[in-house]
Amino acid sequence: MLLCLGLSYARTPVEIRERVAVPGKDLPAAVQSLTGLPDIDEAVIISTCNRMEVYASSSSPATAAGHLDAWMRARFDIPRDVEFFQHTHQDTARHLYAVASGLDSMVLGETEIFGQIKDAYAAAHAAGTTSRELNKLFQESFRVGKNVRNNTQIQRGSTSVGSVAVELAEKIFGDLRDSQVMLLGAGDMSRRCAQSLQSRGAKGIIVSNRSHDRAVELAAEMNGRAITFDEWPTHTALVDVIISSTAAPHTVIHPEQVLPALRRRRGRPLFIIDIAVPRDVDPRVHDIEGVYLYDIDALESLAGETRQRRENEITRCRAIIEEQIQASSLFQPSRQPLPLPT
Amino acid sequence: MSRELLVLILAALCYLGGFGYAFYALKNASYRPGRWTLLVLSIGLVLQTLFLRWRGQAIGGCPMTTPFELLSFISWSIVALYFIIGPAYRLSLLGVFTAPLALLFQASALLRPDALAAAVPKTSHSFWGELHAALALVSYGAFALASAAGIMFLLQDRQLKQHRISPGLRQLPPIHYLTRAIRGLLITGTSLLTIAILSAYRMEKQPHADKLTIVWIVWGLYACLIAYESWRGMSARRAAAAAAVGFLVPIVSLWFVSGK
Repeated sequence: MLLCLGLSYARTPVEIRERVAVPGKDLPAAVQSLTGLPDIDEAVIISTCNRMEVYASSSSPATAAGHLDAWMRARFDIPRDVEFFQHTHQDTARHLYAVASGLDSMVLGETEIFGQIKDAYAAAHAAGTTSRELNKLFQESFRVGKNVRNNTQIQRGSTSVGSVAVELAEKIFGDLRDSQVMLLGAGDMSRRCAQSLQSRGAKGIIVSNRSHDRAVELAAEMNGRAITFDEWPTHTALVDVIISSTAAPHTVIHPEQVLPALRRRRGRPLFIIDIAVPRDVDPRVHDIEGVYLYDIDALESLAGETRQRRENEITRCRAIIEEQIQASSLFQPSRQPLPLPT
Repeated sequence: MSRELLVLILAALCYLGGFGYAFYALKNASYRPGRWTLLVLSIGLVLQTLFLRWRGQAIGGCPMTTPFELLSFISWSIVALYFIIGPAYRLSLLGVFTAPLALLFQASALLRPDALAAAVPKTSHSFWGELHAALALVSYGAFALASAAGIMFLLQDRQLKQHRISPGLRQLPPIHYLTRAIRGLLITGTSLLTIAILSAYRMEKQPHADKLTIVWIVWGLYACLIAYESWRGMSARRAAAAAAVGFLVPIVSLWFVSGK
């Protein structure tokens, strides 16, 4: 019989979660210590920043769950008032398939968890703590995870301001490796936004700030170059993305500055991200052909739409999971679970 | 039904299926570039190539002697160009827009009364005449693809300006790639049409002056567009709109040029 015991971000604060984290190098020893417990035949540990879950198979799930609970509390010094969630048999699979599909993630539909489950399974498999039941369960979870992601919109679109900015930049320019980025203002938000673009290949970061020292500092941090605040209009023709987040109480980018630069760009579009409040960019700039201006509300709105769309997909994802559980040979009528002690 | 008609009907069905699938998949945001669309376009292209081969053998030259053959040849050249241009500009989704264009021309050819007429063998051959016709039609194929890319650009530009990205259009190619593709296709088409027109002047029996004038008008339109864009600069949106709408001129010109 299958069983699962653990805790996640949904009900457990980070102060507890950080205690139960098992580094990758310690996973083999940890799963082997689990299979050394009475009634535990197979074991896999999934340990990420948002969850710590133990999957096991046992011929005596009622007593095995007690052993797992005790092992967790003893190993990680977890007080009695912290409750672990527990699932058995089909509910174990239902839970794992949902986790693999990103349905149980903090950012609904995120894909990183899929790789983390694969790594956790690979570590346990290499340590010799998986056999028939867990092998089948995890292989099925990978299949379900792929199926859900391919046949629903659960992972489509971007859910944060930074990722929306990257998605839009790629929608406009394609490969960002040829794109140059200019930061106006040296705020934390614009830095993170630029880092997101850099992570997708954007090069040639130019930083311009009223405090030139701060611009130099940020440019050094981002491997870019600093220019004085008076110089930025002359660089508009050279860059593809402008991220503006100055603390100015009035707009600093106007159509009169953008239009001449655009003529020199010979049809190459210009993407302007205005994350300042009050706004840095005159909204009339958006009316210029070839210029795409997105302020913080526009970016938030796109991220919100994606989050809502993902929420709407949950029912379809659950249906795919149920279909797999009904079809799985793991849960034939002859393999009924035993009740857990209450 | 002749085997020639059969393969063309099958090709048209392939393009219809490819377009239908792509439309459905885009609507449901589940489109995967490079699978079904590529397969059906490939099958359609092979079928049309078979037709051109059989027809060419029967005629004893390039099968461009009737409006039915001309329209079929344009449909074939649109798909053939897609396979050449698409990968160069990383425009996998252009296939979605290629299928309906190819279908439009192929269906128009099949619906013509001369579709049922048997091939008439040529009594005389003119290398320059055949080069003129073939290059002119391939250039029209390039203008058709530029028009498709222009429509894709305008759809995306509109969404980006409205601060929206619909799940279906999310999969369209980046607008900067489309801008480059439109420019490349217009230059390719105009260059081919230039050679086609020059070839016409080498023919022993030159085409009717009115027909040549119409082709010159088409050439002039695209040459002016490219020249203006190169020397004065033009926003990508205007270039896309010009490529999308401008294709109406070659379509109308076909009406006159292909008339007997």
